Amino acid sequence: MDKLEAYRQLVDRMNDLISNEHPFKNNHKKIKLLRDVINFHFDHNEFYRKVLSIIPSDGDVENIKEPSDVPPLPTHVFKRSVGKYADFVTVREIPFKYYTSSATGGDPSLVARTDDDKEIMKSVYYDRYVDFLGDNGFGEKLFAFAPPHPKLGTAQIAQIYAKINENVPVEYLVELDEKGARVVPELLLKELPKLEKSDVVFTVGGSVPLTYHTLLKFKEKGLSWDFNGRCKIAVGAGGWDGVKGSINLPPISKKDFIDLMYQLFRTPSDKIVDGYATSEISVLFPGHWSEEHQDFLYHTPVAYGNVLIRDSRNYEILEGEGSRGLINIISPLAPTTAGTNSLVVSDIVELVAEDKCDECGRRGPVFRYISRDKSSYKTGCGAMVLKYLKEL
Amino acid sequence: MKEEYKLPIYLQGKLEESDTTHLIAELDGRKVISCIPSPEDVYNAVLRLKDVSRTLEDRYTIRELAEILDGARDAFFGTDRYADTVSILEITTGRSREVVKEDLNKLEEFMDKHYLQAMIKDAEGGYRGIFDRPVSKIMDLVYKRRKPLGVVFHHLAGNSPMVTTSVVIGVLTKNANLVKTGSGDPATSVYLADAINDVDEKVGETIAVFYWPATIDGELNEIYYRIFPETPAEVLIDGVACWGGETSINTIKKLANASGVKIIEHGPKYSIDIMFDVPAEDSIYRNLLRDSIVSHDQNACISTRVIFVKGDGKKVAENIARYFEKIKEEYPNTSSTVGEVIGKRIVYLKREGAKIYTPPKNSPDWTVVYLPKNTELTLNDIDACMNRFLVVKEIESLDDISEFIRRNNLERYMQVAGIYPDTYLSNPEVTERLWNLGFSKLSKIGEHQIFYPGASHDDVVPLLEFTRYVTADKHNLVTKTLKRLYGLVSRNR
Repeated sequence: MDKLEAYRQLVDRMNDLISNEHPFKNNHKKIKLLRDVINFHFDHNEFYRKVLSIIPSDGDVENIKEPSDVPPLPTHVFKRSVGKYADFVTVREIPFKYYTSSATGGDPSLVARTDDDKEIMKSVYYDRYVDFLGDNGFGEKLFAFAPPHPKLGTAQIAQIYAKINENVPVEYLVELDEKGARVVPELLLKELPKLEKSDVVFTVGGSVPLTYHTLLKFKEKGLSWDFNGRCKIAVGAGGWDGVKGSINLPPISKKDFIDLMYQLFRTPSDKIVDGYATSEISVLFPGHWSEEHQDFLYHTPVAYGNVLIRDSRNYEILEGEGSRGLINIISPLAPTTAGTNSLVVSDIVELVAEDKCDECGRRGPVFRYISRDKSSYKTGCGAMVLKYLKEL
Repeated sequence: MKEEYKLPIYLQGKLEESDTTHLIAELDGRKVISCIPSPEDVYNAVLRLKDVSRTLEDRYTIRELAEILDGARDAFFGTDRYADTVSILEITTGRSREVVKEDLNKLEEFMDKHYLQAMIKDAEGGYRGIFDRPVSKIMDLVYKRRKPLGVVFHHLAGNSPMVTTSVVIGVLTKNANLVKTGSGDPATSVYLADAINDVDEKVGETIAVFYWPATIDGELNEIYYRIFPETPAEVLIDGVACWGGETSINTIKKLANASGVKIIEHGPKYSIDIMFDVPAEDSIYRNLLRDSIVSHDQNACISTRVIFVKGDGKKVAENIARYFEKIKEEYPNTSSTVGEVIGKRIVYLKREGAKIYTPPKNSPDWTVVYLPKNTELTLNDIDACMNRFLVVKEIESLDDISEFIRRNNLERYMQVAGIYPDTYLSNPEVTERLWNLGFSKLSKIGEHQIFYPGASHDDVVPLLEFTRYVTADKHNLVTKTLKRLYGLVSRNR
């Protein structure tokens, strides 16, 4: 079978996996697809083969029986500064674009995606949010604290909004100009009183810092509306420390966020969803609020993804509820770019449940976010020469 | 082993706790918390240090202080103070117990009275007693004296307990010492000061040791503005020894310059090794790895970043790889992370002629990269060389090193060059050339950390930097004649 034919077949199998109505019976299919995708990249990407020869793994990609058998790579390898993101592209015969992360640290990841990847990602993101938002999904309208034409760093948000737009009109509340992001809340302020008098179900969401700090200003002005649970909240992609891309605002307490939504909209915590995601992977982990943990609990979409917790020093798997370490996301949904099927993100998470959420009953590993991993590069008097010369 | 270590403040004879604390580090559930002073606490400490800053001068000779420091060494090493320091550094640096101990051993060697006395003798430059009283030789026209600066502020880096030598030299030269520790090593100076106080309370009175976070909510800690007031007339300290990376040093330099305070600067610098032949001796590789790679995780100015080899570089890379694997049993690597290591290894996969050596199963313990003669060395290669990551670069001659340093304008950042074979250390063609390229200390390979008495550190002799050189003119028959002979005094005066 030639390369493109193999690629097409893999994409079809991925779409089949996403659309399957009984995803929990598909573990065998998922593992088989995972193995075939890895072998596809191994066979058609010489650079990926070389990479497997230097990472702590057996590199035996032909005998993948468990998600943990897939050789894990750190997200570091897709950083622009490393300069190797282009070498990971296996399928170059089909037009693709590089999707970027929000570049909060000034060094974005770049991952190539074709339209096939894009459609897969859109479906996954949309389905996961809708599942957690409950009846009526996003409702009849979405007010998005996101720009309509993102330049950089919001590629995934753009995809999810494009998908929502197919069913629900999206009103964008952020404008981008040369100075950065600027919130334009006037439309929302105009619409909210009308919506209060109606029966319309709708959603407000987008960037965590922009959503919170704008709505906090509403509250400080003495504004509030009672939607009786008709206003849902859907945010995602981090930023709880107030920093995301070019946005630099004060840190946000998650509890304050939950309280603010109730005080402002009478939105109960079960109508609030926060999504954990990374730009390198096409899988979203939606989270609901937990009173017990006073935190969002993120859920693994087991139909097409797995999560492992690894020790940053040796990538050993840490098992058991309460274990803390780097999050390793494994998914077969990556037909174009090699290495993205098992990625270790520089985020420390805590495994809250291994198989099933005690609070909502959903199956699959449940985790909560702890912090960014700060274990690499400490500098002293023998500091980084490039950084020093740059600062002079 | 304790789950939590709470570090006190050492304040002129007492270990004290403050109401405010700060979490410095957490590792595998073990925490290090430090007591934090207020700006007022530090200011008051500086005032008291100023009061006692001249007391050591009348009381002790420099050699007596060397004895006291030697006694403090015994009161620190092998005691609970040392045990707690090792445990704290394991958490704050992430390094293994064995690596931390190896690092601290260097401080123990430094504080040996024989070493200190040899260092004093060298710094005296033939003028025995110059640190204690005015001295002069018969043919001298002046009395010479080295006086303490007064109150010295030591702004220490956290990459190695060796920076505590700054405090040792401060005491030896009879200064009063205000010490700010780094988050990587917040403990050694605190417990060493307490050990000094055990041996001699009068010396203990002249030291105050604190840890505080450099910034709060992104703003420089207010404490710095109390130490370096805007008005020079209000400045109470007389010198600052700043250690560390670029950000830290630049911050202190700006403050000190504005206040008119003398700066003694240590960092940032880079060191290398040069092999003019392939060493056959096991001890060369062992000493190289232990002295310049394993200690400090290559995160000190004296650490080897790149090894230049004139000859078979691949053979050297293979040998080093073999010894890395051996030494990891003795000094386990617990501070490298897989993500960081893979991010660095991957860069060399398509580099022309590069060969990557890794441990069995590609564990992140160490990495050696061989680069052939025709592959250009870059600044990224130097940056990659941390946490047991080593680049071995084959060269045709010293011209290649010279070209690399000059092309990147690195002369003022070079520190130690280790040389093999040792015979080249007495070859002026080699030594003059390397000194011209900015290196201040040339040593045997595996001896970067050994500062023999008289050895240069950052182009200076630190013992002298902590003092003022003062003189008084001599007037006697001999000098009168000499002055006339030298034409310094007119005949009819």
